[in-house]
Amino acid sequence: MIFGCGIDIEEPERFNKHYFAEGKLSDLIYDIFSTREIENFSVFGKEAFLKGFSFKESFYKAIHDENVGFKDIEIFFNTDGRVQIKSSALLTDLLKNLKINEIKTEFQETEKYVISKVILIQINE
Amino acid sequence: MAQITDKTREEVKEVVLNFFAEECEVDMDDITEESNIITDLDGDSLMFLELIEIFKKKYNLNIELKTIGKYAVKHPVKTIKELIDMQLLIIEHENKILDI
Repeated sequence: MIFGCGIDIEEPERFNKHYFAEGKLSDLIYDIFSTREIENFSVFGKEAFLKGFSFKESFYKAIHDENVGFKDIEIFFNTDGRVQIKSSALLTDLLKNLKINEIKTEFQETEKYVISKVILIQINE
Repeated sequence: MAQITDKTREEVKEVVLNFFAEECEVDMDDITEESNIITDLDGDSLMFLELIEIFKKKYNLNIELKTIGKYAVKHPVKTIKELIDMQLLIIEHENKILDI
């Protein structure tokens, strides 16, 4: 059963302007991503930061819980194109209470936009 | 807790109007306190976060995005006036904004 879904669209041009001002990472990056994510994204370039941000926006739309912050969910990109998602202790408990056992993620990229979709799936009982 | 004066309000208003004029490529005179950020200015969450960062730096604020997020869920912002008022509350109360 689907608990919730979220979709987000970002423009690389605008994102890069805000988050890579003057050739360096904006302070905002450190408010949104964990150190582990920043290390992982750095391997994949600016696009990874944009996809990571878009994923988090989609996730919050799907979970819609005010207690969940940007750093409660982490996303990591693998060289084979797959992603790995990790949740904080707070979010892990919340997902458990809501009986959500799967987080489906999908990205679409065009020249001008990056689109992310998140679907939260509940255990069927 | 910071004191909010008329000067602070004017400063915040100026920063907000300048920011949206530049970001949304509209004339500053065309933005009013009643302008709707999404429908009139085509604003989005990216702009909201950037604006928070600008104010965090300008006023050396100690507040986490998570706290602002919690507040924003309960008090959604639609217009420029509501955004200015919210920024003033953030400046005034910082991380204690949820206690008000």
